[in-house]
Amino acid sequence: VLALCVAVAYFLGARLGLFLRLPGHTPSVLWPPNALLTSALLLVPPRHWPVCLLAALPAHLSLNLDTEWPSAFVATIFVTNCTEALISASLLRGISDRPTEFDSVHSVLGFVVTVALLGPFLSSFLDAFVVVSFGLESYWDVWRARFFSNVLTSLTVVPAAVGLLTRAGPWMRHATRARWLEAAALMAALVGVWLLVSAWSSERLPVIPGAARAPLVFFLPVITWAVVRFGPTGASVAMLTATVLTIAAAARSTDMFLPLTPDRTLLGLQLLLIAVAIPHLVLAAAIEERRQASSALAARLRFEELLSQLSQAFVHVPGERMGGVLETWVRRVGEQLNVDGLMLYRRSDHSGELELRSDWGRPGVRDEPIVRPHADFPWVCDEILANREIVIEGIDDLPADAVQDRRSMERHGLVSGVGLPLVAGDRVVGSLGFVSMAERTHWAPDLLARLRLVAEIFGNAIARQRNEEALRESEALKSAILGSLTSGVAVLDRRGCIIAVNEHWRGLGCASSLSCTCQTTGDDLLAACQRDAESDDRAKRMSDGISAVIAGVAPHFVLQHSNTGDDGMRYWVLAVHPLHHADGGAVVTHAEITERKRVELEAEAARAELAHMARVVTMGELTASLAHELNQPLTAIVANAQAARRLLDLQKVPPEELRAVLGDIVADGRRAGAVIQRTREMLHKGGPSPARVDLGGLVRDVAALVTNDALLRNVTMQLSLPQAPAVVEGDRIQLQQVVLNLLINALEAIGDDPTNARLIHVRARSAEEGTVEVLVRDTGSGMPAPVARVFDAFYTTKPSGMGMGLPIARSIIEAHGGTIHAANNPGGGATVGFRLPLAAEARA
Amino acid sequence: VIAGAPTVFIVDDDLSVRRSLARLLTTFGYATETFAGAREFLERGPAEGPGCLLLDVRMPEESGFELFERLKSTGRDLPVIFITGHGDIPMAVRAIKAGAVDFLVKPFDEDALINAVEQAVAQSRKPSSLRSRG
Repeated sequence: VLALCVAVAYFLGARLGLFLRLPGHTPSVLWPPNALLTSALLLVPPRHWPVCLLAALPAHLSLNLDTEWPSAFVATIFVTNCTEALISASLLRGISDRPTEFDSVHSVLGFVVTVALLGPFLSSFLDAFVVVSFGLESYWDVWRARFFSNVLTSLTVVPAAVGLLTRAGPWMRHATRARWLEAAALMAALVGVWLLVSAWSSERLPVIPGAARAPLVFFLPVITWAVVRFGPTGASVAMLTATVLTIAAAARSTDMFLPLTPDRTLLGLQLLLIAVAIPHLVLAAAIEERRQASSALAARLRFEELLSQLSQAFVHVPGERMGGVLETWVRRVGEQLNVDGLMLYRRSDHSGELELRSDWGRPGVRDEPIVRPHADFPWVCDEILANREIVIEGIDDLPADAVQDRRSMERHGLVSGVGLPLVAGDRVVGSLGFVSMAERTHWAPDLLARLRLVAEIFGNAIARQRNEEALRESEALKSAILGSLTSGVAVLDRRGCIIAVNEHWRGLGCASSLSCTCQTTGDDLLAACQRDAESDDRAKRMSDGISAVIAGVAPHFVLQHSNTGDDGMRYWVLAVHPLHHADGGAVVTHAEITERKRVELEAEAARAELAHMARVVTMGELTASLAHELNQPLTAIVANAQAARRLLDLQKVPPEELRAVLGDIVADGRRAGAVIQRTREMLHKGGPSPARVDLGGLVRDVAALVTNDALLRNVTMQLSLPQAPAVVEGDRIQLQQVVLNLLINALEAIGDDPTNARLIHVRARSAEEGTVEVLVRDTGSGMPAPVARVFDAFYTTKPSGMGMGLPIARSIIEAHGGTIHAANNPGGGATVGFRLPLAAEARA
Repeated sequence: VIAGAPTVFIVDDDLSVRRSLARLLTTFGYATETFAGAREFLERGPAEGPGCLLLDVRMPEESGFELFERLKSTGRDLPVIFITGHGDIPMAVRAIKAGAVDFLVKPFDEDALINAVEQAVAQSRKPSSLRSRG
């Protein structure tokens, strides 16, 4: 097809050239074949050049069949013609990467220098040499004739031919009716001028004197019209037409350049046409340049406006409507940017993958969205997520390993595309994709810059959407957390007014009978508590506590209180903590702890029961000692009573003697009573009754209880007790039980071994700041390691032991806020002791 | 107290017991001497004339048995009646085997006491060779 077109064009061009000869002249004023060949070489890539040149050869030969020139000459002339085309096309391609464009002064000047001047200049030497070597004409005449002819031809034919072939199609598709009419009018004007000039030149209508001498002058307004209105292509077409018509007019006129010789006339005409062609081409290019610049400016303005609208659109949209707005704007941007498809993807927080948010395709061109980007375009997605831009001008730009991407592009009919990561902070939050379906697209740097601006705005919008979603989720989570709390929660501002509550707050507050907590958002909690402070001590403490926490005086405040409900006592705990907020305030939590309290009370009762059992067991171990202790006074009582009876029988009893006996009986009776009293105390069953207890005195009493036992076992017991009372808060009986337990353990540890020192040393002394310590040290067999295990339940080293003594002792001491400890002595035996905090006043 | 009456020596760490027993025995015509412990009794030196020793088994420092053994080993053959607050059979057997006249568990009746004391005093009147039962 290419070859056929070139051949036909060459043939027709030559015919036209032969037609445009001045009367009596061999050379043509205009010789189009060479210029057409040059045009073809400019239009097709160099690899097709041989085809073009070879295609022209048959046309050339057929033209010259009817001449009388030798065939070698004809062939050589063809070679020189080809040489000119090759030189011109190579030079222009060498200096310009857009050799078919005549839309800037720069490119037109480049064209004029290379194609119009240098090409003919150089090739004419060869041509003249060929002509002369065949002995036809003189060298310089040939050179001159050929040079000027080809300069004129190149100037007029090449821009017109190239322009028509590259621009006529698009122009015709987009031209309005008015433009068609204007083009037609322009052509009509050219023909009209020609008719007028032809008429004048034949001097049938001598209206304008001398018109026949310079017909070109009358074409000038029309050419200028074309230059101004139809760009370089229109101008060059008009110019070519005017040139052809001028030459035609000149050819028919015999006296145009009289009294010049035909040679001079030809030259004059050519120079005149060249002189007109060059400035008009440059002017057309300049105007085109201006027009393109202003249209670029207009496009830029439109784009800027789009950007500002785009930004505004996103600024005022609430997060939940963002989705729809994004959709709208993806379409509008796509329409304006003249791409075939625009896709917006958002990166999922969950999977980290890109998910389609919006897809626009130019109607009728693209209608299949890319829904699974990671499956279809794995390479592209990886690049995007790595925050790299992708610019694909054609499928071949994809790297070799992007096999799936290449396949998907073909399947979707995509030819080129741009993928831009959307970035917020330093994180890729999505991607904006632009695709073109029709042809390989050159994504110019300024276009890419615009796309980046668009991507930035979409990126910000998505980032904002993400932030708002995160905020909403966090709000929802917060209120879900508050709602899920079983405690009542109220948030107070700096003045003590409730600014937020959860759903349990008011129900719990009202049920607790602490009436100032039976309030809700907007109420002044602090004021309500202050109001109730007169009648309710709890309200007073609460208002003091809240004030202190809000003022920052106290780090927190806790109030435990109770009331009588339908099912018995209910227990509550109310806590106030500072609100960590710039404006200050406090958080109040209110929870029912009845169940916890019940468990605590049950545990306490169980402990008391256990302790009692342990006491019973312990006392059982003491029976022998107790019996002995009771026996002594009983023996004395019996003996004294019998003695008194005898004295009375003997009837010589002095009354004071009898009184002494009876006094002894009373004393011993009391003594026995005291023993029983102590025993009963230890066996007493009941809950703890806190009191102030002098630990020194308590140790002395308990030691008395086991003195007899120690005596029985031949164990010496030493007491080191402080002079001043060491007062602790606690339950006397339980603490006695602990001391008793330690003493009995010590006695049992000493056992029957007669070889050891058989000594128990009981010491009470004030220890660390505000505590008092009781130590029971024995010389017994010591405890097996690990010593700490002696406090474990059911751990016993005694054959008859229950293993509950020390665990119970520990639970009692810990319930009193103290600690208990045990260790083996370096010199044998063990020391077990405990520490209790001194009662508040005693500490001072 | 009749002159030349047998003397009952009472060793017990409990003052009330000592005093009440002494008082009771006095009403039966015995002379009495009381001691709070073994050391005190030993310091008094050997007794002359008939009598017996009323000895508490359990005392701080030296127990009744220990004092008894010491008396036997030094040849002071005063008949001994043990008294105890928590007597059991093995202890009683041990006491009798060792040569005690009787073993009384507190609180005891005056008849039991007087019987034992009379028996012991009677024993003290016999020559020591006859009393010795090995």
